[in-house]
Amino acid sequence: MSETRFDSGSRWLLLHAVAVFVFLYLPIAVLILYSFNGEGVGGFPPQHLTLDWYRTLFADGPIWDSVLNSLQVALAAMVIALTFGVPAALALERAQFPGKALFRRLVLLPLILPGIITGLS
Amino acid sequence: MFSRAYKAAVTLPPLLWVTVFLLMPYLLMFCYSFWSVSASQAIVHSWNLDNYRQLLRVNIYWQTLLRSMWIAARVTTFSLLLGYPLAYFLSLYAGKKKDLLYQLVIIPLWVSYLVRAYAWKTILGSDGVLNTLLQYMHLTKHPLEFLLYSPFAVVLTLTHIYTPFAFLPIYAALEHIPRNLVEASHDLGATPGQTFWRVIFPLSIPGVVAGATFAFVLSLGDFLAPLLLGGPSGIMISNIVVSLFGAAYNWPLGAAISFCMLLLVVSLLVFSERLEKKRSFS
Repeated sequence: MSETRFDSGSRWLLLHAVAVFVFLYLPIAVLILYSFNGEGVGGFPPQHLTLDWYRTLFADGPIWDSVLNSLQVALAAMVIALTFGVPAALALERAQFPGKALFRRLVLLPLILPGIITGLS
Repeated sequence: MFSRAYKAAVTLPPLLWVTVFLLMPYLLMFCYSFWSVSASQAIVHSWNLDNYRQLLRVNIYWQTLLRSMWIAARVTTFSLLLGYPLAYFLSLYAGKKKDLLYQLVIIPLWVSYLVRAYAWKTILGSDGVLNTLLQYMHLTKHPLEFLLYSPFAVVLTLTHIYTPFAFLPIYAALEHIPRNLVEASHDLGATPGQTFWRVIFPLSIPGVVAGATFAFVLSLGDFLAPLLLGGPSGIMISNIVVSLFGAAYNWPLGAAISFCMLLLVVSLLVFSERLEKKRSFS
């Protein structure tokens, strides 16, 4: 709708949208803010703002080893996911074959099944 | 127009993948659920229904399953209450900012689940941001204990994590509503309220059903949020499954619970797909 009517209802919608965005970004904002906190544990307001935690982070060898590890795992997972995912996407988008609906359901099933059960099995 | 070879090349690898890494493990789990563990902690291949009987007899199992469903129901309700108006605002009122705001809803999904769950821990803890803020403003004298290690914390965190999942299908459904239907409704003299309840909302129901299914099924199977923030009163069924497969070393019973969960989830998926099909207008 190009001619937007800003009635009272839409003002409430705007307010609601702002509130939801605050809710979605609050933990991330808190995380960033408190990474500069001089005190060890939380507490409000944050005190003695400092870059010490970042110095500790960059000086810590084992942390960077595990970052490298995570990167390797992520890269391997991406390559494997693409080798199976690209054909599946091609099959669903381009080709017609009997049982296509069932095929789509099967391929998308792992997305929604409880991860813990899949992992344990 | 596509050769048989091409069709085989694009369908067989994914099918193989699903069979080897999904269907076969589930089948094995189904077998496990009929077996038992001997006194010497060995798996005995005795085919019987003892595990399922135990599920019904021992209160804690089905009670935890019911509590998990209650938590998931609350998460679904809150995710829809947050997600629907947001999707409605983005789709009909955001104008040129639509794409930017859409991206802003997606971005939190890129931040690791674990990181966000721990962030809620820093916010809700007794020395956490919220409690110290409340005391700083002299609204409370002592830290509020119910904030962390409670079902409240689990519902809050899961709502935070699954609101974008509820939002996405609702937004897609709203975007697919032909705008001339909305205009026709206005032209024929319907009030904004009538247009919403009689035209827009009924057409968006498939999206609502899909979003509710995502939020319910994903939060029902969640085990990290209750593990990190739930405390003893916020334990969910997945935590029991994890402990049965781990410390308790009772794989057969764990498999029986998993299979019941799987059955519940799959029947919900089938039900919601039926509902979506019935409600879609195209």
